[in-house]
Amino acid sequence: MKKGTIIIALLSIMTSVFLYFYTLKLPMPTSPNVPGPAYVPKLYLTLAVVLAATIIISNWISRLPDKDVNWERSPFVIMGIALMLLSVFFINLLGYFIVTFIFIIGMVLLMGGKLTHAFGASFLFLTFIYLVFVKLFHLPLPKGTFF
Amino acid sequence: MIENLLYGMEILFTWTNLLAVLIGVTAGIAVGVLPGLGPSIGVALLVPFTYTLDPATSLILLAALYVGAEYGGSISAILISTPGTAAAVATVIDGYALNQRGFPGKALNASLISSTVGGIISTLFLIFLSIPLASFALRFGPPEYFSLGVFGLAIVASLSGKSLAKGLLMAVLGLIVTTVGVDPISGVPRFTFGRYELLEGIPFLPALIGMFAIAEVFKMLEESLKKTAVTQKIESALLSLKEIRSIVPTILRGSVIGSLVGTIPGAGAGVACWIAYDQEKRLSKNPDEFGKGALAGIAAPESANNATVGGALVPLLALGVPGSPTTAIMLGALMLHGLQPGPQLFVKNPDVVYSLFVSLFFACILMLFVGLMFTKLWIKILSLPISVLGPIIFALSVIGAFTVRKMVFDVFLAFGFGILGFIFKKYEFPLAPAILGMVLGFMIEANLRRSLLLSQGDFSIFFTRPLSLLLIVLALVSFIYPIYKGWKKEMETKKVEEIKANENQQ
Repeated sequence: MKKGTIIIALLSIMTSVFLYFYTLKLPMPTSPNVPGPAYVPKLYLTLAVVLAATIIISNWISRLPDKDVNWERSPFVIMGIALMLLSVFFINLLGYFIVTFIFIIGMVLLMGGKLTHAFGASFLFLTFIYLVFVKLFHLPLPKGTFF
Repeated sequence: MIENLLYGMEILFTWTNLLAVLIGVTAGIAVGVLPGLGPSIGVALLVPFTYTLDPATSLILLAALYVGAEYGGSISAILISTPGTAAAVATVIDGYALNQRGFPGKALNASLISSTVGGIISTLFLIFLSIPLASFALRFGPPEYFSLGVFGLAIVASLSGKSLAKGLLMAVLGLIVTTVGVDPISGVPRFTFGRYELLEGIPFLPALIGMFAIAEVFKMLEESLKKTAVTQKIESALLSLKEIRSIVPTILRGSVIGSLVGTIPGAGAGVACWIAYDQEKRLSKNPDEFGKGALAGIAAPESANNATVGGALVPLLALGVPGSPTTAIMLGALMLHGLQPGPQLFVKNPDVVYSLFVSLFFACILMLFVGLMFTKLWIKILSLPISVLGPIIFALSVIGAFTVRKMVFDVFLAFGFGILGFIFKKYEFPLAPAILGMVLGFMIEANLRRSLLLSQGDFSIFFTRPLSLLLIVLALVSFIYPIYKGWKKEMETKKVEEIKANENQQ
């Protein structure tokens, strides 16, 4: 039985049902012949439930395990993902350049890179981004509260 | 016509205009490569620099950038699984797969050659068929747009991989994403949960960057931590003549599809690339190779998306109706110079029109040389260790997601889609149908409801208009044919297995 696939399908059903109830709060159409704002979402959500149920049933019957799905090293992956998430959180506080400088160094080291590579990559990448986005195109990048 | 084209050449072959083409193409490639900057942002950024130039030079510069950017989007799609533009999404599938097999040079070459030919063919369409094509495009009303959307969505059957149900579910999830935000007809907010950032809906590019680029970084992270990841062997080999010959029919078909779809205002490169990809997969003798690095899987979407450039200029020049966001900005640029696009433009300002035609040809050819010059440099990027490449892709993704609306909220969105993409990929839920749903969702819903408003809820409106009916029939064929083909193949395999089993028993 493909556990992961079934869990994803179940989550899809739960989300669809939750959203379906949300559509009941949307206003009714002004004319009975004309579809209102809830019409299309309801159609999609019903389809999603039917399809997800089909996936669950067919996987339940087949009873085959998920192929090549390995979460053994998930603690390390979670550390990396947490570092990325933290960097996004701190962008509003410290700004893109400072956060990215620290993030690249941390991430390169976490992924097994050398310290020199980490500093070099961070410095060169940010210089390139500064020249292209800020100086050449005058495109704003996220600024922090302090910087 | 020939006289006018010669006149156009005379205008183009001045140092200023040739330099404008070179700058435009190079800047376009750069703009396309960087996620978050597409042709529309590139053209918008360049417009202020054209105030002091004469109208013909301005338009030449902007058109060259447009051409370059459509190609540039494929470079990051192939190298780091991050489509630089929405039109390069389909290229990721086979482009990145071929890169992963160790042949980034071949993938980049296929993309470059296809983009060049696509651009040239669409320019021919533009020159010879502007007026008839523009009137064809104008026949599209809401029912036809809805049917076109359904036709595009029918491709899902061939993008679903092993499980049709999974592919369909992903397409529906993509469609659901597009219902977030203010309802296009009544103006009622839906699924916004009080967040003003969601009123405009979930922006496409951050979602795309998340599902492809950030999900890929997660995968790299996993690989690097296994410590068993073998450094990928990168071949710098380019396409052989035999390989080029093999993709010529694909390029021609993709170019025609792109040119036609490009003329339909609102359809654009994002739709054309998928239609061309599906078409090619259906015609292929080896459809199983698609998704694993098939050259035709790169050539079809790339020729189609570059061919939409000429196509999108058709309604702009012939009718004054922009066919894409980029041509809408170009329309603004033309008006800044006191020009009014439409049939009169051909009479009053032939210098502008015909020099643009010739410059599009020239821009495509120049793009080939500039692209070839940089291919080895792009490949070098891949020799960076995974521990450096991964964080850089993430940092670039942050910029790409942020640049669209200048909101950090979109970076969080991209991150969320990244996690979803990573999990979906692990459990073999195909991402391409979800993207297709996101590309087509708005077109389908808005035009379905507009059509039903027009017909007072009568669905026969989609079947009584010839063009709409034709598209629906094509959609049905598109959807059923791959399923039938797959079923037939399965039956044949079973038969062979049965015969073998019988022989073994005997």
